[in-house]
Amino acid sequence: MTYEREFPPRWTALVAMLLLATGLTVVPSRVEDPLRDTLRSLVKPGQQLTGRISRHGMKIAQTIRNAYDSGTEVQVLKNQLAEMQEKHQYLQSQMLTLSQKGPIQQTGAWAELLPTPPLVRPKLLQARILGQAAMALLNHQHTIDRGLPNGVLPDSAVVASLSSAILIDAGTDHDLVPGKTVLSGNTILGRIRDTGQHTSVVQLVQDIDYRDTIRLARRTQDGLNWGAAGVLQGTGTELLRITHIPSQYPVHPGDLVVSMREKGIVSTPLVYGTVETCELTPDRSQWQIAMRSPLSVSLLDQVFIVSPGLNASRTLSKTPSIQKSKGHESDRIRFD
Amino acid sequence: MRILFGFLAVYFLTVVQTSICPLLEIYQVTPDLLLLMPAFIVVSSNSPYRFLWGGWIGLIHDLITPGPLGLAMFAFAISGYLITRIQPQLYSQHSLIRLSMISLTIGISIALLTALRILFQDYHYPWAHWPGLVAGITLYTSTLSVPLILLTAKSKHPHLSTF
Repeated sequence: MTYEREFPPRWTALVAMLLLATGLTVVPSRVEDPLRDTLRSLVKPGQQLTGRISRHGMKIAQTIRNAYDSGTEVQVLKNQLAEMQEKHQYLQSQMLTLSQKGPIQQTGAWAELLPTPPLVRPKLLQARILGQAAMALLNHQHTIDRGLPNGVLPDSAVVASLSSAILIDAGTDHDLVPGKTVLSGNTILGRIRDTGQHTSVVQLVQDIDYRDTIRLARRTQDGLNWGAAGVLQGTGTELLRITHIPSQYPVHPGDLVVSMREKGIVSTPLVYGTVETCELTPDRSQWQIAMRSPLSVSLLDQVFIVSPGLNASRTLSKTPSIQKSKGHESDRIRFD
Repeated sequence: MRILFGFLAVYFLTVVQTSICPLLEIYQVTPDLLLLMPAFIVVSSNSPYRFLWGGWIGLIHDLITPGPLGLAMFAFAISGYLITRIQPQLYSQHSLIRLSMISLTIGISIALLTALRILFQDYHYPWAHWPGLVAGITLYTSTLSVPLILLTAKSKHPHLSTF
C-alpha cells in the first residue's frame, strides 16, 4: 500500500537500526562509560526530585495510616469502655447485695442473733370493683348520697373516667381511709383517694397526679438485687415515668419497680411493674425511665386493700410490763 | 512538538524506571516502563517509522542497565517492526485490540531481550526460567498499560473504543 511511497523504505531503516545496535554491542568501555555517565547525570535531577516526592508521599501515607490506626484504637478503647461499664454495673449491683447481707453476717459472727416478730403486720381487705350496672343500682336505691365518696355521682367525670380511677365496694364501713394501697396479687393497682360509707374511689397508678417513692430491683438467682431509689409519676397514659435516678446506677429494661411505701409492713416486695425503656438525660446526670404496669383494670374483678395493723403477739406480751412500769410515760405513748 | 513531548516522556519514564520501579518488585519481577512507551507508540501512532522509537528507547534502556549496549535497541526495534507489519487495520483503535497488541509487543521485546542477555551471558539464569521471566514482566507491564489505554481511547469507534 504505502510501501512504495516510503523513503527510505521501512526495512532499510530497520536494517540501519539493527546494524547500529549490533555495532554498539562491541563498543569499547572507554566509549560506553562516558555515554552511561552522561545519561546518569541527566537523569539524576529527576531522580532527586522523585525521591523528594516519594518521601513526602510516604510521610503523607504514614500520617494517613497513623490516623487510621488511631481511629481503630479509639474504637477498640470504646469497646473496652463499654465492657468495663457493663462489669462496673454488675459489680455495683453485687456490692449492693453484699452491703445488705454484710451487716447481718458481720454481726452474726460475734453475737447470737435473736430475730424479733414484726411490730406491724399487714391486713388485706378484699373488695370488688364496681361496674356501670352496679353503680346504676346504687343510684336507684338512693344510697348514692350516703354510700359514694363525697357525694360523687356515678356518671360524674371522676368515677366514670375509669382510666384514672375505679370504684370499689368497700368504704368507711370497713375502716378504709384515703391513702391505703390497693393491690392485685403483689402488684399495686393504685391507692384509695376518696372514701364513702360503702364505696371508695381508687386512684390508679396511671393517674397524672399519682406519685410514690420506688426502688429498682433485678431478679437474680440469689434473690433481688436492689438498685437506685426514685420517684414514680403517673402520666395519664399506660406508660409511667420514673425520675430522680442518678446515671451512675445501672438500669436495664425489665428491672422491677418496687414500692417503698409499705416497707416494714409487707415482707413481700410490692411491685408496680417493670422498666420498659431507659435512657440518659441530655446532660447524662439522670435516667429517663418509662415503665408499664402489667395490670389491666378491665380484666380485674376484685382487689385487695393493704391495711397495716399492730402485731397482736407483741402488743399483748408488752402490755403487762407497761402496766407494771407506770412511771414510764414514753412506753405508754409508744404502744397506745 | 510530538518529538519534544516524546523526549520529555522518555526522560520522565527513565527517572521513574530507575527510582520507583525497583520499589514495585513482585516475585523478583519489576515493570518495564521504558518498554511500555515504544509499545504504546507502535500501537497508537500512524507513522510507518514508528518502530524506530523502539530502537532509540532501547538504547536508553541499554544505557541505564548494566550489560552490553545495543541488546535492548535490537530487541525493541525488531519487535516494533513486527508489530507494525502484523497490526490489524480493522478496529485497530479498539481498546481491547490495542491492549492485545501492546502486550504482544512487550512480550516479543522482553523475550528477545532476555534471550539475548542470556546468550551474551549477561543474565545467569537457566533457560528454564526464561518463559516465566518473560511472562511475569509482560503481564506486569501490560497491566500498567491499561489505564494509559483507557485514558487515550479515541472516539473514532464510539462503541468499540472502550471495554
